[in-house]
Amino acid sequence: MKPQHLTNRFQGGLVVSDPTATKVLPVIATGLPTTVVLPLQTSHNSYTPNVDSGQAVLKGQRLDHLTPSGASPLLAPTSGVIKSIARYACSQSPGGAVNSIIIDVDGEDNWHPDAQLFHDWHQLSRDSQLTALQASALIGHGGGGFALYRKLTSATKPIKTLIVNAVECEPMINCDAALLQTAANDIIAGAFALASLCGADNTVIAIENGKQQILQSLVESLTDNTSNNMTLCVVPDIYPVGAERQLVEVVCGVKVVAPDIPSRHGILCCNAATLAAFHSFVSTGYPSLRRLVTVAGSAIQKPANFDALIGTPIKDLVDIAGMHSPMTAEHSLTVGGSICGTGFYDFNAPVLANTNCILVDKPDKNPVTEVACIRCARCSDVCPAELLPQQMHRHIQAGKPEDAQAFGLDACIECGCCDQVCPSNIPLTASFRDSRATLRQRHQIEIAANESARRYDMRQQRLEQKTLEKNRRLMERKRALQKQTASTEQSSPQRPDADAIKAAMMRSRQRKKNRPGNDSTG
Amino acid sequence: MQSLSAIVKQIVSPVGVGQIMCTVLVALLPGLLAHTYFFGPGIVINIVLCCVASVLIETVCIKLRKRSVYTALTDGTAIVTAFLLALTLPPLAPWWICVLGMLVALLPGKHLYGGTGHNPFNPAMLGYAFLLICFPLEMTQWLNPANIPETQQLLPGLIDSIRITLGSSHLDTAHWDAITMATPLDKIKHAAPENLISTVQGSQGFIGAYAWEWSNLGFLLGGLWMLWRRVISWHIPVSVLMVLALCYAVSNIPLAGSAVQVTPLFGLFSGAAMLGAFFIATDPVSAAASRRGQLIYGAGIGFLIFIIREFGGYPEGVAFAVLLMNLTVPTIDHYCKVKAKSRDKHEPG
Ligand code: SF4
Ligand code: SF4
Repeated sequence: MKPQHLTNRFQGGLVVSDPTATKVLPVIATGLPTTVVLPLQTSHNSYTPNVDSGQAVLKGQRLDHLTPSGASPLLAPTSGVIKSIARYACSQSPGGAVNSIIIDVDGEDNWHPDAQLFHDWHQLSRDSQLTALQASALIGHGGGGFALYRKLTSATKPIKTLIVNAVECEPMINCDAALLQTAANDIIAGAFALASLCGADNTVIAIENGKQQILQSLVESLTDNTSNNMTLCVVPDIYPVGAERQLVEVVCGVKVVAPDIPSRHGILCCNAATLAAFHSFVSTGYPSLRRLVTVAGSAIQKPANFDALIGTPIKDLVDIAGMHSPMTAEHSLTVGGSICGTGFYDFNAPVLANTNCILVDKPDKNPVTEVACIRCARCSDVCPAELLPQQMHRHIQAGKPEDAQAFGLDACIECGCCDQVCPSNIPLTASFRDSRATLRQRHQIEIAANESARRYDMRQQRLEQKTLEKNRRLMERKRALQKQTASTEQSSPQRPDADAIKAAMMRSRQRKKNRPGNDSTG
Repeated sequence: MQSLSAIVKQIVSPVGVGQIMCTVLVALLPGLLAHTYFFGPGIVINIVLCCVASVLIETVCIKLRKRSVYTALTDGTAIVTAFLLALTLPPLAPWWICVLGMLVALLPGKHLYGGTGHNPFNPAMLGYAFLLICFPLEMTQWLNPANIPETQQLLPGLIDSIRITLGSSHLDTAHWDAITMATPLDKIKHAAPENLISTVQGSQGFIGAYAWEWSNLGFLLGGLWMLWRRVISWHIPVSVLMVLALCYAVSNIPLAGSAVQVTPLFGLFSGAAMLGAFFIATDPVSAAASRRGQLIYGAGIGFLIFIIREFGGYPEGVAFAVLLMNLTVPTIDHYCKVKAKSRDKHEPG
């Protein structure tokens, strides 16, 4: 198979020379951690736990209540006992901590009896395949953290093209390269399976220019596999070509601007690691609960790619990789790559399905000082989403993130290009990320408020209805009684139960007289 | 091992605000040299005075605002403001003109709005406009270019220039009158219609106004260098100069009703056209933010320069054109929210 070299470009972006580009770090398998942490709130999912502390759970057991929206479930990555459900560090929450399930691992790694979702994938109907995929909780291993099931079902057009994103998201991240080198066949098999599931006619494997070694191994694997509608594309190495929308633009010539998504254009773009996980799921029936994570940075002794259980505390991996000097508070921790990763301060945070890279750097000797924006427009020149970061920044600084939305804040792909070129050293991307989180929170509160207002209104209505109904029934009874009395009166003027009424009134008077006495004694 | 992520950052982010401003200063040199050659060392004295004043005022302001003096001074914006103001002042302007101009440029022009990055107006032009309105006499005493034989001997040297600037030496009126003159643009505007042709010809160099064309060429050269170094983008200078040239071209059509016979080339290489287009209008802080907005902003400046030169009471229109367009920036920015749309590049439309 001959790779096809593409020269298409997208707007903006940066040419970054990555010193690690040609080196593939070794893959190290890690055993079971002693604790795993599962955040209940990540960027795209929020869960309500169905378990309590002290309860024993098995590997692959579902830990959350069914949510109606068809979101992906939360699965226990290994067996153990739930230690607590409490706030815990999380790299995906702007506040740094979020409610999490903390499991004490028992080391048995026993599967839950229901964990295996099928025996033979190919015998399932398409619908049951999709249901199984949803139940497997397979979350994209790229940066976005979007569930694969959601991605498939959000398509409004039949999927024509499947793009396998084998482009490393950004410099320093190495896990995709390692995976391509060690498990190219799994990725290709996963791509075949996914293509047949979504009905794509052609599959494009995209890899960036300059990765000769990996290209070679891919070419070999593809020649082994008979592949008629699979092509291999080499895309220009311009950051962020590994971002979904930019890759789609380069490969298919379709520009997709958020909130629009590629699947609405008949294109599905999938990270290579996701496909490898998909393949492992399809071939075994068990959900895939591990992923490769790059651990590197100037403070790390032996940078490597770790095959880690999802939920493993970052600290465990850093300990295995070793640090040049004991960890201090000054060491900077970045989750994600060197350009768009989030600076983070807590080494206890867990590895999530979309945690691709952990960078630990030595304390910065001469930290840069941030100065005011001089509106030089460098940021807007490099913005691949064609936004005006300087304007959004201005509005955010003025405390009006909703005004920044008018400038397209929601379309920001958080690539970090603007930060890199800003002469004033403004952390633009971080402020966009935070503002979006704030707006999302605000939106959720609004939804919740609307929901409770609706419920209150409904209750009021129900109560009103009830009173009306009661009144109506009373009236009816009264009318019926009146009719009855009228007819009896007609027959006999003297009411037969007059004595009984008198007796009742006597009794009641007696009771009333007694009541104050009762009060004083009681 | 050096921090790998640090290497990545170094490669992709070579400049800070300080470096940008240094590049601007270097880019000013060719024009400055031409200026000095034709108008004597007065301009250099202006620059020194303005820079000293600028550093002093800036330090006091930053101290009062309790910010880091080091950060404020090393970003270089105050020095660039000083250079730009000095370049627009007449070469033998008295010292207090420089100091007063810098005061206005930095105090109300910059620090009252919150310092670098927050000023809605171009500080140097604010200072210049203030001086022009308050001291029209001092501000319009331009020297005759040195190479006209009869004034060459009379042009004061460095020492004399310093003396004149500081006010310790006075030229007698006759001497003064002999070496000063109105700028060519001013002369053309005030020439009687019957003398117009000869006035234009009299002040004509090989492309622009005599001597002025050289400093304009120098600023053009510096501007092109800044473009090449990507310190500025082409949008503002190109739109300023194109619209300015276009206005002159239209006004040359006899039917357009104007009798002014100034060719577009003459207009572009006279006065402060190049300095304005490449160095003043491109001040990013007070310009429009988006590239599309910058085209509108630049076009507005070009048009206003022409209008003020032709119909206004001032010899040169750059300062007021820039200040007026500064006022429109919020509106321009409001309407230039570039937002990308999803599109299939293979399908037309
Ligand atoms: S790059 Fe930085 S200084 Fe320049 S406009 Fe953007 S935010 Fe402002
Ligand atoms: S982080 Fe957002 S605003 Fe900045 S360059 Fe990337 S897409 Fe544009």
